[in-house]
Amino acid sequence: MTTVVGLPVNTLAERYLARWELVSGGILLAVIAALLLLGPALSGHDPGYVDLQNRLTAPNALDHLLGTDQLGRDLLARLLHGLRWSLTAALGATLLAFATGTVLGLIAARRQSLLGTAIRQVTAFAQSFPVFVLAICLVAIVGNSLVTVVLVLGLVTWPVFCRVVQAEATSLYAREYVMAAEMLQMGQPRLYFRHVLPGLLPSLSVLLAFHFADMLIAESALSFLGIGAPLGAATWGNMLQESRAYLISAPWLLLVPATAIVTLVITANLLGDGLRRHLE
Amino acid sequence: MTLGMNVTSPTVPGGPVLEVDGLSVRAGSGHLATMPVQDVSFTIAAGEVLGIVGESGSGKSMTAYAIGSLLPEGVAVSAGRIILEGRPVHSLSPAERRALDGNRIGMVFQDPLSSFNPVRTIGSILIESAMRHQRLSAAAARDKVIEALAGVRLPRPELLVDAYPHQLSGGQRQRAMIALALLNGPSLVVADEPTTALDATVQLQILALLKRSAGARALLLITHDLAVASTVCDRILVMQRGRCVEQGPAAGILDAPAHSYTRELLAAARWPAVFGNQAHAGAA
Amino acid sequence: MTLMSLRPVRDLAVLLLGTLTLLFFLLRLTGDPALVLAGPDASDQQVAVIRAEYGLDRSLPVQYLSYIGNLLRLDFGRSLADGSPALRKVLIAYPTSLLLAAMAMAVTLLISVPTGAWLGARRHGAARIAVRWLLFVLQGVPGFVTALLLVQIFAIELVWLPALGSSGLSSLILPTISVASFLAPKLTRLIEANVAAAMGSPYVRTARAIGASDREILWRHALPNALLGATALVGTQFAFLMTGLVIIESIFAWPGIGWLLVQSTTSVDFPVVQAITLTVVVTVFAVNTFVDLMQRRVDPRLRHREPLAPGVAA
Repeated sequence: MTTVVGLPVNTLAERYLARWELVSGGILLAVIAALLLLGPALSGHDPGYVDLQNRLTAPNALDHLLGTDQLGRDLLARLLHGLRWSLTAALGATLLAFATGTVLGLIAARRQSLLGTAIRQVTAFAQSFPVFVLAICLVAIVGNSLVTVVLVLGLVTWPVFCRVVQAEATSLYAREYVMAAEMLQMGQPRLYFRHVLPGLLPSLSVLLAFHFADMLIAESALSFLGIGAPLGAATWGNMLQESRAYLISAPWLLLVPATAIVTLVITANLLGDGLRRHLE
Repeated sequence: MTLGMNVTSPTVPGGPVLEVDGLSVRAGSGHLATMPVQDVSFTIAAGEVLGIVGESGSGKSMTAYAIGSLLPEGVAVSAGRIILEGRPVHSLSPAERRALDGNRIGMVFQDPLSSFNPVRTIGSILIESAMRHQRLSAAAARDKVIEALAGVRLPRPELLVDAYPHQLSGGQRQRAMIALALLNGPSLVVADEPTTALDATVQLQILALLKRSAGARALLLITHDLAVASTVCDRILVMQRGRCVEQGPAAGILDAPAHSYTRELLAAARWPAVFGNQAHAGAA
Repeated sequence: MTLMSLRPVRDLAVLLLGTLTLLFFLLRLTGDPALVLAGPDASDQQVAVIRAEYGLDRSLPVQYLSYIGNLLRLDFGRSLADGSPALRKVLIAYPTSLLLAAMAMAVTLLISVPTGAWLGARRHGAARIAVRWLLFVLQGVPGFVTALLLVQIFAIELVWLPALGSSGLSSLILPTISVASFLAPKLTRLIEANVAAAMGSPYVRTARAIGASDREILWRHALPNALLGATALVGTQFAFLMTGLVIIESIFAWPGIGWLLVQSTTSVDFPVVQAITLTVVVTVFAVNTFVDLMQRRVDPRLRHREPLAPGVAA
């Protein structure tokens, strides 16, 4: 707090909180991973199997653990299928944005290059550009598929990583040990991998977690709006949209996907927050 | 000369202005607690300048903050007494304490740039202090502040009052900080490394200003540099790792240091040529 | 000052050019631009007319120039849905969105600023932990999920408020709360961080040294700085707000540009899509520039650059 040396009482509390966040996030992640691996088969039903005789049955322990939707499809199976879809989309988009943004950010941090300057300009503009609008346009125009969603979301959000990498790399480049390595004419790749990237790792890992949460929300929002996921596909956004007509008669249609999304996002937020506190 | 003229006499005439007796400060709690200050005692009389010298981590700043009731969160006085003008002040209620801060005690901090609010004028905080402790109207306070700024030899004080911190040089800001400390005529001035953040040439001027304006007050100067202490202090107290290792008249400490640590500090002092107790006249 | 005032103009020009170029290539992504512009129901003749009108049978650079030229003349074509001029359709929906955005922003500020200030100043206590927890959970719930839950509770179960449409004040409430729940957690944490930083700063220590009380310190010394720092991020928050609007408007059938955007993109009504994109881009840019200018006027560090009284050395 002041320049005087003293033990800030917060660090202990902070460290406990960080540990708690990471542990609970980790447990949730493990559960999610297990569900992911087991897949829709866990429910014993096929997510697309239409059974009009059993439509809109409430959750029960007998046959359908989470009930069925308006076409008699088992909700648990659809939920698990949606899990795969959402995770794949969010992970793919995050990794794509991460890869693109990091590379461009490293280039942008080099003050001298023209390309760097151009990238810096674009990033500055992108900061206040409503990228979601762009994403909607792109996906709607190109077509509904998982690949499209991943590509669009990934390519539209690279400025998030670029900005952070740019800022941190600039300060790293200015540090003596990096300058020394450059003077020794170390090859570029070696320079990056040995000296620059390790310095970026802390903030990048935090950003990865939070960006993943954002991509989750973005993907489900898109599919909720009918963009990105094919009609009738078992995605959480679709399920939310379909639930709207049955809010009175079958509220579980809303609550099941809603809880799933919230749980996943909170998991990602817990991990991101815990990481950030831990690395501070 | 508007400085040093409005010092009210201490409650105990003839007694020391500040008396610190067995002061200990604890940081943190439980088994992870540390003691930045351990059993430190000293007095400062009116008109006297005491310098506390030590390297970083010695607890000298903590001592100053304990006296100024500015200890950070989680850090508190754990033992000892602090007596100002005959009154014990270490156990006052926050409200009573606030009546003293800026009024009977004036603080001068190390970094004048960050110690002034960057989005408020230099004058605003001085005016706030004058209004609070001298119960003046805003207009009257403003006049007093301009007077005070003139007293520390700042040019065009009527303009400076409305200037922002970034518009002044480091030395000018420190002068303003000194004006703030002296504004309400305190009997004790505590200066924590007042020259460390300044250029070498400016340091001498500021030290001279401090010495001159101390006048009939008690001045506590915190510094890591024995040379700095040697220019203005009457007495010197050396601290190491929270404890007082040596205390006495400046000349005595400098000429014949008794403790090995003091000798180390002497060796590290920057201006061997200015040893001896000279107050620098001139541009101040 | 004249040179400074030219910079936003240059930035706007670059931004517009970039966006238009993007749209230009977007149009060509799906194949024949003439078909896209004419719509799936158009006859061959109509397609040919469009092709000639937009110069789509000529070389690419010429196409680009005529496209830019059209848009600069504010000719965005006609909506494929109802044939009305695309730009007019967008401009009609615009104020409806603005109303929702303004209300939501106001509610957000009303919640975030006091809460953030309280959290930043108060570093301990069970109440603080509880509130931070609530914010954390709220941040984990996506805006549209909140909206749906709100609709479920207040419109369906309790039938207190309408679930759809934009008639009357009561229909404004649920959409506003939904958008606010989208924005508020993040903004609150931002303000909290700023206030906490301000409270721990050296100039607050100076204020304590002259005997200021905790309340005076928060209101007079810490809060102005914290809020000033937070306004720098209004630009990004606004872009974030626009995102939220798109989704929330769709849920509540609130006839603003967000709702229009979703409708036109799903029906690939490209003229309207390009009109909306440009409108949104210009709006966000305008807000950013405005905030920038305000900051320049309010923040003394930016307003007065010159040092004062160089006179006496130090």
